[in-house]
Order: sequence, then C-alpha cells, then structure tokens
Amino acid sequence: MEEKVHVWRKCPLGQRWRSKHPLRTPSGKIVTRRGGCVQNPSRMDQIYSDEMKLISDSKFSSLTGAPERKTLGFSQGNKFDDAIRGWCKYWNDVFSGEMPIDPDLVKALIATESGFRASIRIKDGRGQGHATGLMQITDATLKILSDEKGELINHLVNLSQKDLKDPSFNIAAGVRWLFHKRGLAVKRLRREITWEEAIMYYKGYKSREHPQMIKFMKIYQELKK
Amino acid sequence: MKRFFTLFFSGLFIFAVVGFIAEWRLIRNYFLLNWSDLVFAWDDNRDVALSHPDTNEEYYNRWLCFDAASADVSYGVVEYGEARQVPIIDIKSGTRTFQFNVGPEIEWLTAAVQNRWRRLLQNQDSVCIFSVYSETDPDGTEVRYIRKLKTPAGVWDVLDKGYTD
Repeated sequence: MEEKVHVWRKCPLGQRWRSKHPLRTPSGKIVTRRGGCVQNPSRMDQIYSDEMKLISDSKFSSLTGAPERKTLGFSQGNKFDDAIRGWCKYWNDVFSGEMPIDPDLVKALIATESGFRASIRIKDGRGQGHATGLMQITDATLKILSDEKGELINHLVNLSQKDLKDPSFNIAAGVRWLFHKRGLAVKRLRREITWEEAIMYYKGYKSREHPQMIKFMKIYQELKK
Repeated sequence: MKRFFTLFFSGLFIFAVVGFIAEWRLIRNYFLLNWSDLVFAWDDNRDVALSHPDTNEEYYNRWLCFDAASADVSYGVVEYGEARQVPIIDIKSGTRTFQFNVGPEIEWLTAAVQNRWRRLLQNQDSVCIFSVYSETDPDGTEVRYIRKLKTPAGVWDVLDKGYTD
C-alpha cells in the first residue's frame, strides 16, 4: 500500500484524484472519461477542488469538537462550522509535527476577514489584486498556493478564482496558507510563535495592538468563553 | 539446393527491404527524440502516471511519435464542475486513432495552448508526444493524457507557465 498524505485522500502521495467526467469531442460526440489517480508532474502533494469536495461531503458531517456553534452576532455565523472543523483537522493531521491550529481561531479570523460572507470579493489594500471569500484569499496567495516552483515546498492547493467563492475550498486554502505564514515567521524569528501571532502575519499587521487584531482577539475570546 | 537457398535469401532480403520501407514512415519520427528525452522518460517511469485503484490498473507515460501532418489541433468541452473548453489533439496513424487530452481539473487557456501546439507543428515533419494511456473509446480511439509535446520547433510541457488560468 503506497503512502497517502492523509487517510481521507483517494490517491497515494504525488498523485491527485481526477473524477469521472463527460467530454464533448470535436466531432460532437459525448463520451465519458474515467476517473483515476493522476501523477502530479511536480511529484508534490497537490489537492484540487474535486477531491476537496469528495472529502468535505463524505467526512466532515460526522466530526465533532471546535469550533463553538456561536453565531457571534452574524446571520451566517455558524453556517461554516463543519468546513472549519474538517479542514482544521485535515491540515493539523498533514502537519502533525507542528503546533495544531484551533478551529475557533479560524472562525474568529473569518468573522473579522469577511463577516462570514462567502462570495465577498474586495480590492486588496496592499495592491495585490483582490481578496476573495470567507478568509479573504488574495490573488497573489492563490497563485503561490498552486505554484510548483514557488514558495510552498509541498502540499499545494490548486483552486481557481471561482473556487474561492466556495466556502469549503476557501477555508481549505486559508488554513493551508496560515500554516505557511506561521512556518515563514518561525524561520524568520528563529523561535516558536503562537497561532495568534501567525494570524497577525496573515492579516499583514505588525502589532497586536492594531484595532483589527484587538477585534480579532475579542471575538476569539468570545468563542473560548 | 543452391537454387533453394538463393530463392530463400532473395525472398528474405526483399521481405526485409519492403518491411523496412513500410515501417520507416513510422520509425523515422522517433529520430526526433534524443538521449535526454529518453532519460526524462526513464526518470518519469519511476512512478505510475495514471492508475485506477478500484481495478488495480496502472499506466505509465511513454513517447509516441507521428507525422506532424497527421495531428489535428482542436478542442473538446468537459463538464467538470462547470462546462469548459480543453485543448485536444487528434492523430490518425495507420489504422490507429489517438486522442490526446489535458487534465480537465485544470482551467486551461485553450486558445493559448492551441496556438503553441499549432506553432510547434507548423511545417514540421514529426511530432512526439509523451503521454499516458487512459482508455479506449467505443469507436477504437485510444485516449491518452499529454505530459509533453515535442517537434523540431520546440517543446511544450504541461508545467509550462502561461497556459492556465
């Protein structure tokens, strides 16, 4: 049995899942193409939206634990709890040697980033195009997440701009990015850092005293009450 | 006896020459590949390129070479979460028909890929495609997925930048 990145994945390490799909050929015929495990030319671990959907549809509803089912005053405040719980568990398992991320922290981050509005797309303040969805993934981040020759040395996330408006895909990408930001900060500072500090880097703030960080901490503490 | 051997070896010689001429049209395209292409294939074949875990089928990428003139660049429409175009190359070689596809899970800039393929194929004699077998359609078309395409004009690789959205 070949090694898998996570027990929920369908294919061995270095391969991605391709779902069965119809194709209309140039002659107008409609044929069905088989699903299967496809080698990633980069040999890295890469996850695409179709496999993310398979995972979230089949695994997340049976999970229990954080985040707290509080709405935090938002109309959709607990709508994405399953996805937050599921993707935090997935990435915590994948990065099992690192400090695990608390799903409540991700929920508090979503509250401050998008107010739980899944299809929000706004201009990024740092001039990096736009930021999209629940965790406000920027266009630049989206590129880095799937770049075989880029910053990430493994566990790439291949999504399109459209995919980012899907709450589950957005959270999957956002949590992966958080692990990356934390890893970068640990390397740069040469010490372990807390997840709260990692959130600060994710948001691009230099101080915990920034009003947005104070707001974030307040919401996080509210979830932890 | 001497007459028998003369006839036998003459026949064998003629058979070899005819066979060689017949096969030459197919074989000559493979001269496009160089040592590094073979090393690339050797290296790539350390891992399975496409597998079907349910049926335990495993397939590897391999170089197939054709007359460039037999390659027809077009596109198909896949339904993969949404309907989108994907570039396709159809090739008829002898009695066999091949369809070379790209992965539907990637949003290809179809026109850009087609332009690149057409430029590589234009006025060339041979094309070699490094690809993996996927399935055979009911009409006998062998469906494969492209990893690399090579002509004397250059190479296109699925990892090349600028061909995906």
